[in-house]
Amino acid sequence: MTDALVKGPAAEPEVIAPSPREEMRRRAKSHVGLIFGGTVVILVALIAIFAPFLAPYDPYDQDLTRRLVDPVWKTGNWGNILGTDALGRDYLSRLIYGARISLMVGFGAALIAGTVGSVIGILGGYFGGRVDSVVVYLINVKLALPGLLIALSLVSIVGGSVTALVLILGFLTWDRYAVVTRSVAQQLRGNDFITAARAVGASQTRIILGELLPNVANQIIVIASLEIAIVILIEAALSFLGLGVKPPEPSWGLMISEARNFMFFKPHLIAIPGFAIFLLVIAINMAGDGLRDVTAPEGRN
Amino acid sequence: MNVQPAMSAAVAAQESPALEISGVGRSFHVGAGFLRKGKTLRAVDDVNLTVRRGEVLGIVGESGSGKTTLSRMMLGLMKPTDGSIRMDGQDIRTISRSDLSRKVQPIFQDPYSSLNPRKTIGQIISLPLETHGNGTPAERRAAVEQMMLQVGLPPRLIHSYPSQLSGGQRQRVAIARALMIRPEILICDEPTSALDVSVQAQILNLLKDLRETFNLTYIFITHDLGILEYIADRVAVMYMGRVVEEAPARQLMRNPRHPYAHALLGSMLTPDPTLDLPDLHLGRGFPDPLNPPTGCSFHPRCPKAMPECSNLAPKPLRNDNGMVECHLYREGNPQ
Repeated sequence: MTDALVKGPAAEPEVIAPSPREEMRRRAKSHVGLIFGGTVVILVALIAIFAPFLAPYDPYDQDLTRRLVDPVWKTGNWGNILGTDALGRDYLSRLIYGARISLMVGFGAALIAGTVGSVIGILGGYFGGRVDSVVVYLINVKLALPGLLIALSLVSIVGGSVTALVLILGFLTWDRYAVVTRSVAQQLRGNDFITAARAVGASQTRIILGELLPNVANQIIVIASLEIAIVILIEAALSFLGLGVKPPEPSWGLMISEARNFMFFKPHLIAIPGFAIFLLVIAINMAGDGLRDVTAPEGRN
Repeated sequence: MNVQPAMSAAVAAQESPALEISGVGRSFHVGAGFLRKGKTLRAVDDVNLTVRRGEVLGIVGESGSGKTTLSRMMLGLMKPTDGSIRMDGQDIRTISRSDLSRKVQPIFQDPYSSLNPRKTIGQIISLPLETHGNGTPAERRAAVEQMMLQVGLPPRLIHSYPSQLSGGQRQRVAIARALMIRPEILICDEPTSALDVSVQAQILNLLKDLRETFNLTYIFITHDLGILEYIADRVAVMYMGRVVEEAPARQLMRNPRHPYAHALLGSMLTPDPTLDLPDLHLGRGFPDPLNPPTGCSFHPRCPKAMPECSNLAPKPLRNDNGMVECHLYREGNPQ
């Protein structure tokens, strides 16, 4: 700061703090939960994407001569690593394809819910007044709805499929996004940088997309990570009840449901998909918590 | 000499005052609801001010006196309920949002809330250019670097985030952003009160220099009379939404006429440890703006209140270089 244009008694001391991005990277590297959760989620996603190359058999291929084959640790036979189910289908292949359904429903529903909820919440929080009254009313109506009950009845009407589940669960879980983005937008709206953008002549669209959204994005991502886990559990529950994905699709919840009859003879049939659900959900939750810690360290605890 | 019409229009714009505030008022309805009649709060009441080109007008008054409401109206962010604001002789209600932003820009008090924490310094400073669609990205970047130099910021900070900068540097960024579209008027709402004392002087000097470089007109809103003495040409004192005294800065400092201006001057702290806190004789606190006192709104706190002050509002008394609104001063008795 030896520039001739700088006047005054003494030039301000140079501040070379690390940039927010560098600090975030540093915090992410030392966050065990985020690393573990993120790794598992990425692994499951990769398995889902490359399922056709990874699965040793066709997950729909039945072989009634090879029903209920035990997994490798009981037989020592590497033909069917996780054994087969009651219809003689390879359990590992079904587990691998099942990851696709869980992730598609989880991420698809979160994408819809996140978009709907964030738009509603940001509009209400930013504009306030009448717009906000409508938004609060919508949120209250949504909170008063018995979500799971509606999901159950809708699925029984339109029939279960991945698309139907994504749409139904997407439009039933937007409330948390709306509540959080609304309160964040409300806080931000009073900031001088919004007033400065208005004074510069920026349009409302530019202010919302360019000034507001970057400040809300972190919160949206954190809620999404938690909501994905919840939706995956709902999908498993619906499929278990026979109201989710229809057989012969290899949904993890459906696999548990189909294994109910053999619970006491072949407990691994329930334990394996159960553990897969548990691992994926806890990994997503840990990654979500980690994301919150890393992106918004001031909001910890 | 054949003067072209465009030329004469430009000359006329040169001669008309940069800013003309006439009879401006703004009231808010407070506490109104369904079947419930709210009260009216007059935040700004019948303010008349004229600012010449290149002048620095200081507006001073305690919290709640309507300074910030007035500044928001001058920026066009809030519509006055009464009166009109004219810039270069043109009513700002008839000026489009984007044209108005080329005439007047704000500088805020808190440089922590005035910069978007998620954007780099370069993005923040070039926002006005992007909004107005000026230039190619390369030209914008060159303009941003040029402006950063002019406000005393090293251009290598262009990729930094506001959180990496000190308070003074942040305020320089805010000044650079305001100047990017070459406004004529800068409205500075307490631009130094959030800064360290040593940095305050730097920012004030910077503003003084930029005034010459960019031929700017300043409206300087503050509660610090010391700053106004240094930078302002004229000062308007606001109380309860009204301008109660307007005078050249030096004259107001040496010889305040309104008792409130007198009290404000007395409230300046001096760095003399033997002196106690100044006694202002202001008595009770700021009156409730929802139930303003009758007559002169200052009379409950005024040390020189007379019987008529409580029932008759004083009329503004104007002379060549100022105005005062107080019963102590009458036509033909300017003390």
